[in-house]
Amino acid sequence: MQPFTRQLGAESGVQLNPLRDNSEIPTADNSDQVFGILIRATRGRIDKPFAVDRGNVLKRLGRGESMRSTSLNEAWVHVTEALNQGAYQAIVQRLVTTTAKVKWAVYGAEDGLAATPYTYFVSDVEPEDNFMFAVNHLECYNDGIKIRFHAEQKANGGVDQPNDKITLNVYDSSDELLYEFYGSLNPDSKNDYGVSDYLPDLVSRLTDSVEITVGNTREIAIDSLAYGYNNAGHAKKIASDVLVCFEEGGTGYTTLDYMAARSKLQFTPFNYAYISSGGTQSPALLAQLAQLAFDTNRQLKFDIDGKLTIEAAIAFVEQLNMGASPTAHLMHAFYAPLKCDDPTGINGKLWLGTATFNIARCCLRNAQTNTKGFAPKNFPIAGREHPLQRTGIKQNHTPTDQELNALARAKINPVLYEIYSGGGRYVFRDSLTCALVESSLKKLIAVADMSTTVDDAVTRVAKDILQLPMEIAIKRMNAFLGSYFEAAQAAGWLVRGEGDPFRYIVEPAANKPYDTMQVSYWLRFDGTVRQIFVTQTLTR
Amino acid sequence: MAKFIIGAPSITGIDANDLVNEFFADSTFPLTIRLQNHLPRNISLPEINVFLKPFDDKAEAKIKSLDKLHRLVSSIEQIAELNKHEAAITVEDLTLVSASKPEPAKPAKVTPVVAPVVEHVVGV
Repeated sequence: MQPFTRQLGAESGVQLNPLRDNSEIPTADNSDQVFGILIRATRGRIDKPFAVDRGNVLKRLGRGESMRSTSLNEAWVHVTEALNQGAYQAIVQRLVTTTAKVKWAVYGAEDGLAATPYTYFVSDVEPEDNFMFAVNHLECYNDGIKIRFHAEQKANGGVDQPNDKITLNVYDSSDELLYEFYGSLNPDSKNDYGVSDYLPDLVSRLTDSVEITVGNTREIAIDSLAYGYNNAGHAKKIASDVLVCFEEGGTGYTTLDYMAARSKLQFTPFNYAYISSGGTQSPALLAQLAQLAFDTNRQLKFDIDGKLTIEAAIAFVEQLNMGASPTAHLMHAFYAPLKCDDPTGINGKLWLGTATFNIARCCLRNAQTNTKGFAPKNFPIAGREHPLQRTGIKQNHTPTDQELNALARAKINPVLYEIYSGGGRYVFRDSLTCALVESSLKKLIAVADMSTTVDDAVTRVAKDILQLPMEIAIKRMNAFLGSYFEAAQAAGWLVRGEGDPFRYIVEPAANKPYDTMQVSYWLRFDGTVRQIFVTQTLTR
Repeated sequence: MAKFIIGAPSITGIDANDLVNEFFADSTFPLTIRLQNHLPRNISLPEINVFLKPFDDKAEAKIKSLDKLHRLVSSIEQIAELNKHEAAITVEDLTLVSASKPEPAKPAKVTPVVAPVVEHVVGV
């Protein structure tokens, strides 16, 4: 018996209070190794974003389709390549039109009549009568799914008995197992722990990607083709052919479709630091991504079609009017007049954007933190140390000095072949944001990267201290900012300029001192060397 | 032959995709369209490999499917919106419509989107 109680009344005794934790240190997660993207894919749920990593990209997004059928398929190549080049995860929202339809895979009477033998079929709506079960696969495979079920032999006194429990398997069209559920057709069934193992209850506890409803069948009869084992000792199953339960509804995306997808990516609980355009050439989609960047303070890296001439590339960016955005520094344009081998092997040689590759390298860099948790974000992914890791690269056009000047003025970062010590390579030649400034830190991608990271860290701590007493909240925020900015300076993010590397003020708002706190900070980030002037003078 | 001008929907109050549905839903693809730029700036549409100089430059493009036309029109509409232009680009169907084909219903619906420089031409 313990020598204390948790709540002491009037009696004599010892009350032990719950452990108080003042040791917590604010830490960052690895969301800066993750990017978000809106893509057309052949697999993936359409109702909300989902996470994809290099281990499940083919299962989650499908095996990719040729860009010959539609250039929208470039985004799949981007995601697959990025996950293999350094990105930890991609948060994907699948693009669909309003005509996309998720259907039910049903085992029952197709015409709904009691006398009709049960078969597998696809139904637009959830069935009501004369079916055994219906499966709603929310991962929306264009290529369809297959379903099989089996009931174990159940004997009582040596006599076979009907079984209410079935094993339900869901496969993809290539017979890769996606899900296996073992549950009951009886709504009152419970497992040994008293928990419902009714198939719909069980499935809802295991995944939100599949919904199952059970019809009026309560058990599998002993003469069923799915009951027990055959003469060879193999489990008897009733299997479907491929059931195409998702209608993509075409790819004629309207602005409203893009807006709907953007909104889902904005409000997802998944966290990510970068937004990829997936090589889209659509100003309508780019405009929505730019809005997402503004709303979420995340960096958007987008491609300009490498086939375009310099003049057309500049026009493409200027018509988007991104410089007018108050967060133009979050938008980064890349122009790679390069053809290369498809890193996924789906296509032949192709024009492939490099913005998502740049994001992948950012993610890889961000994984390498110092002891205070700071990644070397003051080193932009550009120049000699970050070559484009692709094969069969062929540069279509070598811009002149004047064209390079025009690209820089249009805030476009070219990806070109450059000669360095140790040999030439294809590199990100510049690291400019779309901010329409000439001599300001806001023009540098490295500064945008560090600045958004600082904002993210500070707002996260601010969220944590909401609803605390004002004095305590101010004390905690002051303590955090002091140590955080010192660590940022130690990491080389902040340097001394005309004044101190950093300054901050935390105080109650003058006009609303009871419930509003003001946090302001002034930071001098380190810059990036973009130009070097070298002069040799001969002397006597 | 269908012909209409796409402008910023916030100004015109018209969704250009509705016009596409009205004029092109029954069209046979691929079809050829002509684009005319009314903006005082270059327009680059890599989706169909078209680059238009300012002020009435024209170019023709082959559109493979209705879906692609919807995406293209959405893009043009967005450019018009970002630049707040009432009349940005004219889209003209160069495919001859057969005589037996019924005229699209409710042609008056598109009237508000027409800029003074071009008229809607519905049918041949």
